[in-house]
Amino acid sequence: MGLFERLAPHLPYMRRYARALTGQQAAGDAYVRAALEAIAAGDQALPPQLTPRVALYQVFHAIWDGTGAQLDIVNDDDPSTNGEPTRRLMRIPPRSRQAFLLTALEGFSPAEAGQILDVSSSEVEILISEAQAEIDAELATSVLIIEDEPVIAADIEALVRELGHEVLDIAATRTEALEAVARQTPGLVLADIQLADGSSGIDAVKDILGKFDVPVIFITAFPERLLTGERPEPTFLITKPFQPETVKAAIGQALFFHPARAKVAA
Amino acid sequence: MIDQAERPKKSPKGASPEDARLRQQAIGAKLRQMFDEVVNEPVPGDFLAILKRADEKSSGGR
Repeated sequence: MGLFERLAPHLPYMRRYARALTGQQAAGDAYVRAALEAIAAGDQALPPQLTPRVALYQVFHAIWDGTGAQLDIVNDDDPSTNGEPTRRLMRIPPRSRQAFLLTALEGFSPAEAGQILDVSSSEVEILISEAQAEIDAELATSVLIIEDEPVIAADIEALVRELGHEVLDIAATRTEALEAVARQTPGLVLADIQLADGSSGIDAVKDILGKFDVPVIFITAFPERLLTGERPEPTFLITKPFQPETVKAAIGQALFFHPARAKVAA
Repeated sequence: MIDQAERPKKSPKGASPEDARLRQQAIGAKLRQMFDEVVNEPVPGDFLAILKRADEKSSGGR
């Protein structure tokens, strides 16, 4: 089977990965082109024991490591950078960023990522944990919890702290929520819908979003109220009873992709 | 308060590998959406030309 037949189907994904890794399409494409030229010239062999896709990514890394791994300067004026998410990716050190993107974006197993990066699976696991620590530190913010049930509020608070965030306040009513944001601006709001005094978490969130832009995750036993009513954007929705992992994943997603984020007050 | 039984212990900094993987998959899914257009646009012609040339060279050289 020729190179074209073996590698061409994987090039769209290779380009995606290269762009995510370098922060820019032009830079990513330059590395992909260099990798293909090295393969074509016979300077880089495709290891026969690897699948073509794994082999292609492996050669790409050999080229990237050898030349430009340090040149991660993202030009903010470049429209292909996708703004804040790309900047957050670039803040993860190159090696951890590779392990993170190979597994989470490209769907390689840790064993395959190890073949690509020429390290063991356990080293890949370490790199993935390091990437997560970096992401957690980058996303750390202060969180407003709008929840009137003390036990659930305590669960959510513990989970939020486990992720490395501060809890700005726990508000049981719309009024308390507005008082809390008047004192300090949160970087994330987690909101129940039906509140203690009969007030609505949706109204509280609408009031808050009228003052400033903040990612919001609704955690509710009544998701239909959000589906039928006008749902303020941008918001996420989690149904009670919730799995802690689901809430954690949603928090990471909401913060990672939110365009502008309030930092923890210094 | 009642402790949830037998949850894996975590180091104060960072998540367990399993926990980290779940959270990274959530971010990865959104990244795939973000980069959808890259996957769907045509691959630059010169990339394909490099591979075709190499194939022609190796089959012609035999």
